[in-house]
This record gives sequence, structure tokens and C-alpha cells, in this order.
Amino acid sequence: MSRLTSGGQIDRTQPLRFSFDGKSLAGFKGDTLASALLANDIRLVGRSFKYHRPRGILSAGSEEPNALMQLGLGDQTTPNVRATTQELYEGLIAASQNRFPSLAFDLLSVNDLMAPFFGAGFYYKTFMWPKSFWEKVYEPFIRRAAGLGRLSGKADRALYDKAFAHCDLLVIGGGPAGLMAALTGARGGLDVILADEDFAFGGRLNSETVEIAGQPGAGWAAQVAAELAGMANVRLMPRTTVTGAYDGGTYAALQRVSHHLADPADHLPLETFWRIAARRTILAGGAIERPIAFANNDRPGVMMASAVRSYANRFAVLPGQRISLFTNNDDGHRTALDLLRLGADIATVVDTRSDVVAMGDYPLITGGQVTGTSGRLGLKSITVSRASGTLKVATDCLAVSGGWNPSVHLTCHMNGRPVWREDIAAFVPADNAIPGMRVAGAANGDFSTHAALSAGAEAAAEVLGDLGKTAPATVIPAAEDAPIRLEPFWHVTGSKGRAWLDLQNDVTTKDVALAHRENFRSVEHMKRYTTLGMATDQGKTSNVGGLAVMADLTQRSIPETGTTTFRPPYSPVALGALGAHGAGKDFAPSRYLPSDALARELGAHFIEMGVWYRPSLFPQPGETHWRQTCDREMRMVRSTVGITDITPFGKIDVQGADAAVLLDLVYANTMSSLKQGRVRYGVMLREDGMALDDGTCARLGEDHFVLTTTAGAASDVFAHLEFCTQVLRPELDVQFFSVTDQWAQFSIAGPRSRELVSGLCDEDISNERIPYMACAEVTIGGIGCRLFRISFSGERSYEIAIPARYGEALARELGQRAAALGGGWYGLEALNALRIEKGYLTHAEMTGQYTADALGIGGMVSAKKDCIGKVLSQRSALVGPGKMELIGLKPVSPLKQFSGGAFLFSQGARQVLGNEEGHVTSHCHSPSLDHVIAMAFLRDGRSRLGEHIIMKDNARGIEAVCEVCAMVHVDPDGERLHG
Amino acid sequence: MVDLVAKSPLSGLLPRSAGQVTLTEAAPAFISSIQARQGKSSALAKALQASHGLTLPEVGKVTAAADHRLLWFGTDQYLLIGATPAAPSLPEFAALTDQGDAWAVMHLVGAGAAEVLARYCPLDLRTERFGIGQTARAPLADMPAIITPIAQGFEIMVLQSLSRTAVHHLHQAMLSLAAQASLI
Repeated sequence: MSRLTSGGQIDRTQPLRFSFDGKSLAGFKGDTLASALLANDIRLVGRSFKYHRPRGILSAGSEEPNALMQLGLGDQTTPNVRATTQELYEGLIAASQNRFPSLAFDLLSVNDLMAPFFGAGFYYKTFMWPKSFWEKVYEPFIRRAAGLGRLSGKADRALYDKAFAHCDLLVIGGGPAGLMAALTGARGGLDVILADEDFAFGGRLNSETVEIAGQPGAGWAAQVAAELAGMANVRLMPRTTVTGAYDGGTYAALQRVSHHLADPADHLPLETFWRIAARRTILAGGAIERPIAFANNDRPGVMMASAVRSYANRFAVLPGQRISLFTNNDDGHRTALDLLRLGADIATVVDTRSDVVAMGDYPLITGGQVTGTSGRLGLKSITVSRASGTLKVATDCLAVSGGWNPSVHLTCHMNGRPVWREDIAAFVPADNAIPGMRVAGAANGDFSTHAALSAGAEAAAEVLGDLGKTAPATVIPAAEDAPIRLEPFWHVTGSKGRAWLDLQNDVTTKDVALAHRENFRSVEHMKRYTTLGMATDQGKTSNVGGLAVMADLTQRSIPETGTTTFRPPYSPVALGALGAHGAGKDFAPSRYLPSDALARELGAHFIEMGVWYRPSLFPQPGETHWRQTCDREMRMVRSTVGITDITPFGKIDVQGADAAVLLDLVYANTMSSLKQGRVRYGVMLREDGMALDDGTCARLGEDHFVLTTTAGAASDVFAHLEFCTQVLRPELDVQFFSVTDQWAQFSIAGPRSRELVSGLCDEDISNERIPYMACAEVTIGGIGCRLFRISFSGERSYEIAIPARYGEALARELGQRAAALGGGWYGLEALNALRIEKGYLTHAEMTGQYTADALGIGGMVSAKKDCIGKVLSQRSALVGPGKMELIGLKPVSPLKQFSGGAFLFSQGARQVLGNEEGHVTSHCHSPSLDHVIAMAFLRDGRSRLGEHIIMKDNARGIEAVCEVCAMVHVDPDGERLHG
Repeated sequence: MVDLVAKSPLSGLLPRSAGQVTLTEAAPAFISSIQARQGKSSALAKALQASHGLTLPEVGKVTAAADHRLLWFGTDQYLLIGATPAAPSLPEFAALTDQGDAWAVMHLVGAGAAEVLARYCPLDLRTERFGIGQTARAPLADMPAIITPIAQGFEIMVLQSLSRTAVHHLHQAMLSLAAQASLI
């Protein structure tokens, strides 16, 4: 065991069991999976992406490239979980990834021997021919050989959540700068959100031995966090990564809600995806330590120096028995001092600088470089070169520090480019890269604890000033203020073996050199050619190193070489979190009919039309095929009476002295001439001349109309009316309001419909009083209703609109009365087929791509007045020869079914694209005719009645000869509608 | 004569509660839309003042009398809630429609009500930003809604046909937040 007997911020009273690759292990509450693995002396934790190289834990944070785990079992397993951020819980099950059959013996590590062939861009060059092999052979093989974790292939049953939050000040990062900023802002009266990706606030304070105001940094952090937690104007968000910066002060954040729980309660989401709108933001995201590239620097046991301090100080784990250090700055020495204090054995400290002295009692090699390592599954020794020669040092852990890179990522999300600071040899955020955002602390290159504390307080004071508040008097607590002492050193050159830059994507300095040799020298090209920085860690530990190598090769400076673009998200976000609230049926809202409960009682089948759930069929016992039900329902309507719920049709109440003027403008036909108590069918055009929607317009009073629209176009028509009245004719005295949901509406159609309706209404509804296309106010059971005598089935038909609260009761009443007359309910299938029999348009024709003329209702476009769309509907291509015209089709010889979308070809024409002359839109079986019929668009169709034409559907393999015919198949003279 | 029984769109769906939050039906007796006729805004204001003791609310505001309220709904558009538009002269100045059956009206109340609503609604729900006397038309999980702060919570109005979806989403969030409240 590498666990120290005391110290750290783990809770030794809460021991936890967990398993890794089937082995049962012990840890404590407060451990991460990574610290617990190290405490159990497990150093080999994974295999690399391409070469299957043995890999160990590199870091102690979200930047981790190596220690990715498959968590959990079965169909709810989660791949690519970073062991360094995953909190340990009782019963956690982790497995290593990308190895077969086992982590220590991995067959595909043969890839590593083939490395000379697998360099950057190898597959672009290698797998070129034969062409079909890419999809069939190469890609599946590469996908199998390379990779990280695996998905189960089953639906994710976990709950995810999404939420909005608003604040005056969002503080990103809860280290010394962030805590000080949040405290200052909150004490100044701002609504503050403090988000940190860790489960404990404090940032590096939890991992270092620095003191603040005379107490340990971690203790100070806990104290400040507790004060903040007690303030009503502060929302603390631990386990929350701010993943993106967007316009208008909006930030995306991912909160891990229950990843750390052994037995999450019901209804608890796994993660919540936040959209946070902040008036001001302070980025205090800290910095990420960068490695130095040297030969075979990827062995398990080679770690970041900051990570070694984290494991030792925070988790009380020594990651090695005999630890060595490789550094170009003072941090390496701090690591040695911390380790000495904990009683660790220090093999050596190698410093690339010549002018340094040891800060304590440890062996120091100045002006040295680590040029190689040994140990296949774990570090055994390092080779050190210095002026006096080469030295081999036995060690099982090498802590590396190449300096620190401020976490500039979020400042680049709106195209900001970071700025190079020579004194710290690092990129820092550009000023005002994100409107409303200030950067404080290590994220801005202020690396000392004192500098971070002051910068945090100062940034918050500025925000308070911006927002018109007074900054409270703030005392910056005393803390170390060590200067940065660093000599830039990026990679060891001239030694044998591969020096790794991007550990997750297996990119070495040689790959960068290859990119350079092949002229992929722009960093953006180099990135894509080598895949450096393109893995799930987005190159947090490798980007700057990679471009330093490229800078060397091109003999340019690092700032001249430039950086690649950081994009959201900062760290991976599960698609489940982005899609929260949208799984399954929650994808879209559902609208239900007033008669929904009744239809379900009757065993109706439902269909989604837009977001409405409408019955498609009301099957009766013994009916085994939908066509039996549909045909019966159609015959019922044509012979007795059928009822259907048409509430989804849009209903718009239009009033005002100029209501008729507006309607004459928006309808192609004239509505101002409509008499009170009458209804007219109407069609609206878009400005471009295409039909927008059809429906009815009823005149209830001199200045009062009710329009109906098709269900799908209700909101389009409403928006169109708003545009017309707000933009085109704002002077009109017109008011309109949607009453779609106010009224439940039912259609009662069939020869016996009047019998049914007259029994219900308290008024006389005789043909004399309510003739075809009349409307009237009636009462049913004392309830004020509207009665419309309109039809879309070709039968005598009424529509009753009743206040929605009575919809279900009326539906039940209608159903009983219809049954008594030998009728009943019919669904959408029958409704559409009844329309097609009559040649009435359906949504399949009214697609927004055809003019009124093409739809066969060109005569409705009034010659006597202007209307929206009239001019453009008369463009030459829309009126000349060869224009599309809607016609009917019937089979010449027995045909099972027409095919929606099938092309029409002239007989004898080659059946190739370009020769088609139209296509089938709607089709159905007509029980009245006992054969199938269809509607179709056909060039010059109306002058081709009687012509035989080929219907061809290549997708379904249907071909048939049909006859072009009139669209109206039933009651062509409309006698049934009247009387 | 047939006897038709009224049924609320929320019938059988409410009340629900989880944690400290409850969702109840709060159907008012009447809802009407009132739209000022062209150039008649001030005449409408006078008429409403005289008949209902209500001033026309500004954008995003509510004016209230003892048992009825006027919600701003859009430019020159209002919802009168709790009373029928009484004055006979009103139609001279405004177009009226009955909206009493169009909306499902719910009260989401209790500590954490704002957190529940924030799951689906992008409004800034902090009391000092959105308090009593204000109202907003805002999306609620892809549904058009009217959100109005009330004591300890919010009145939520959605189109009656969407009531099932609205209750489903709000209840899921109530359960989720009740579960999250027990986390440390």
C-alpha cells in the first residue's frame, strides 16, 4: 500500500470497496478513482488509442489523457470516464479500456511494433485501394483496433436534466482567485454562482502545502466555501464544469449530479446541463501543468509534478516508492520538499537549468535532461544526460514539470486568440476576449497564491463597480508570493525512442516532424494531420508542446506559430445531457383532443399529426386489417352518419371595421362579399404565389369572422396574419386572436347527419334555416355553440364548435346518437380517403410548392381584386405550357395500390430522372368504386384526361399503367351536399 | 335536452406534489382576450377603469382588483381573468373573445418552485427580476406558456390541449428536485 498513515483530505472513517478489472480494492471517501488505484499500487490503468501502449495516470484533474475507464456493467455502462475526476463510491466497478484479453497482456500491442507504418496520416496513404476496401475492410479493422471505451449499444436509461440559471456574477473555478472573487462579489451584494469541476472547492489549495492567513490553504478554502454556502445570494455549484462561452453572457455548464453515488435515489438525474446567463463573469479556471517530451515518456509512473503533489498532499498517497523529478522550474523543487516532508525516498531531481541549487536535502542534477526510460508495464529507471555524461537512475515514479499553461480555453470560444507572455513562457487570455468576462489568477498567468487572491478580489471589485455596487473593504489574506522562475524547455532532442506529446491520441514529436516534412506546417494543418489535440481531452496537456515542436522545426517563435482553436465543450458532455427532457415521447409536446379519453375507451388507433394525437382508425371486433376498418368507416359516412373530432383545425377569430379588407388581402378569393351567417371556402397564397393554406371563413357578424386553417398550418397562417397587419397594413382596424383551444369541434357527416344534429340543438336547423355553407349560433343543452354546415367528405355535413370543457361530454353524446342511427366514429384514415374520393386537397398537395392553378383552384383567385401572391403566381413558368396540374388517376387493370411519391412517365418514354412528368400525391382505396384511386401532379394534366400513363416507384418496385381522370370520383355534381 | 357535463383539461392530472412544491389546478371562472381597436387604447383604458377598476397594464405587467386581473398579452392585447368583460360599451373599443376554455391554469407553489420552472423556462425567475405584478409569455419545454409570479410561486397557463404534457414535465422536475434536495 502506498497510502500514508495520516494526512490528506480523505475521510478515513469511511472506507469504501470498489473493483478494477474484476479485482476488489479498498479506498476512502474523498478519494478519486485514480487516487484509490494509486493507493492500491496500481499504476498500469489503460492502453493507448493507436499503439496499445501501456499507460498510467498522468494527472490529477480533468486534463487526464490516459486514465479513462469503463464504469459500470451491462447495458448502462459508461465509457471514457476520467479516473482522475471520478469520485470513489461504495461498489464502484471500473474496467480498463482498449485492451484484449487483459491490461497486462494486450494482443493488439503488436501495433506498437508496427509503429513505423502507423505514423501520422498512415491511413490516408495506406488504405487507398481497392476503393471498396475502405468501407468493408480497413475502416472496420481500424475501428476495432483503435479506440477507447465502448458503448453498450443499448438505450441509455439514465435520467438527465437541463436547467436555466441567472446571476449577476458567474465565477468559474473555485481556487484562491475564484473563492476570493465570489466572496467579494457576494459580500458586495451580487447574486453569485460559483462553479467548480471538483467536488471540493479550493482548486490547487487542496493539493499544495501553502498557507493562507496562517492556516493551511485547504482549510481556508473550506472556510470560505462554508461562508459562501450560508449566503442567500450565492449558489455553489461543485462538480460543475463550465463547458462553453456563448453570446450575451450565456454559458453552458455540466453538473455531475449523481455520478458519485453508490445508490442514487429514484428520479435523481445523472447530470444536469445548465445554461447560465450572467451579467458578468470571472474566469478563475487556473492553469494546467505541461509535460516535457522525452523518449518513452509515456510509461506508467511518469506523472505531472503537480499530480504527484495532489496525490501526496490531498489523498495521502505516494505514487512511487522511489520518486524522481524532471523540471525546468521551481515547482519541481516544491514537489521534492513536499515529498521529503512526507518521508518519501527521492531518487533525484533533474533540472534543465544550470544555475539552481537544491532547496532541501535531496540529490539534484542541474543542467540535466531525462533522455530515456525503462520498464514495460511500469517505470523502472530513467536515463539522465548531463554535461559530465549519462546516468541511469532506478525510480518507479518520475514527476515532470515543464511549467504551467493558463486555462485560456473558454476565452477562445468566441474567436479570441490567446496572447504569448514571454516572462512565463505561456499563452494568457486576450483582453475582453469574451464580453463581460474578466480573467483572474493562474488562468491569467498570476501563479502565486497571493497574486491569485488579489486578482480575484480585484476582478470582483471591478464587477461591483460596473454593476453600480460598492465593493466591500477587502483584506487580502497573507499568502506566499513566490516569483515564477522558469526556463522554457519543451522537449528533449537527439535521443532514441519516441517522445510523446499527445498521450491520448498517440502523437509523438516525430509525427509533428513528419507533418512539417510533408508541409502541413500551419498549426491547424498539423493538428489535423497528426490528430494532436483531437482526442477527448482536447489536447489539454499536449497542444502547447506540439506547437513548440513545430516552432522549433520552422524556426519561428511560439507566438508566430500560433495556436489552434479551442472550441466548446471544455470537457466532454454526454449527448444524453444535451438532449435532456427530449428522450422518447418527450421529444416534442403532445396535444390531445377533447375526445381523447373516449377514443381510447373505444380502442382507437392513434396517429401523430404534427404534435396532435388523433385517432386514425376505430377498429371493431373481427376487423383484422386497417383497410377493413377504413372501408367500413367510409361506407358508414356515405350511408348513415360518421363523427370525427376536428379540434386541431386552426381557428382564428378576426374582428374589426377593416376585417373584411384584411381577408380580401390574404385570401385569393373575395371574402368581403360573404353574407353574415355564411361560410366560404378560401385559399391563401404566400407572397411568392404558392398556396399557403386552405380553409373556411365564416362571417358571424358584420365585422366578425372565424377562419379555419388546416391543423398543420395553424401557426403559419397566424404568423402570416401578424406580418400582414403589423408590417404591410398597420393602419387597418383589425384584431385577431387564436381560438383553436377554446372550441372543441366535431364533424358530423352523412345522409343522417341532420337527424343527429337536429336532435341535439335547441334550435331549428332545417335546410331552409341552415343550408349548405351556412353558419349559426345554436345552443346544445343550454351551452352556446357554433354550427357550420360545411363538408370535407362530400356528404351533408355539420361542424359543431362547443366550448372545450364540454367537448368530451358532447363527444359521448354524439357517439351514442350516431350509433342509434347506425353510424359512429371515424378516424383520420377514412377522413383522408373520403377527401380523396371527392378530389378535396389534403396536406400532400398543399405543400407550399404549388400555385392555386396547379391545385385546380385557380378560378378562386379573384380577377376583381389584388391579393397577396397574385402577381407572382402568374410568373411565366407557372402559367405557360408544361406547368404542373393536379389530376386524378385510376388504374387501367386491377392494381393493389398506388404509391405516394411515385413518378409518372409517358408511355414509351425512357424511365429515367429528367423524363418524369409528375408524381402521385395522395391515394387510397375507394370502397365506393371498389378500386384504388389517386391524385397526382402531371404536366398539363388537365388537358390529358383519358391518357394512359406509367406510374413507376423504383423504391417499392411498383409499376402500373393508369388513366388520367377527373379528381372527383363520388357525386361529381355535389348533390349530396345540398338539401 | 341533453345534459353536458363540463370537464377541466386538468381533470385527473392534478394536484401533484413532491418535496415542498405543489402543482394545483387554479382554473378561473372566466378568461377573455381584449384587443384594443385601432386608435381606441385610451378609450378602452377608461372603459376598463370604469367597469372593472383596472388600469391597462404596461408591457409584461399585471394589474389587479379584488377578484380579477388584467394581464398584458401583446401590443394592445390583454387577458381579463376572473371576470367577464362587463361593460356593454367595451366592444366599441375592443375586440373580445372568450378564452375561458382555451387555457389550463396551474399554480406551482412552494420552496423551490422557481427551480422546478427553471428546468424548462429560460426566464430570469429571481424575485427581484420577476415578481408579483409581472407576467411573461415564455416557452415552457417547447410549449407556449404564460408565466405569472404569485405568492410563493408561479401561475402557469398553457393551451388546454397541452395540459398533459405540461403536467408531465413539471411533475418530473418536481420529483427530480425533491430527490436532489436530499443530496449534500
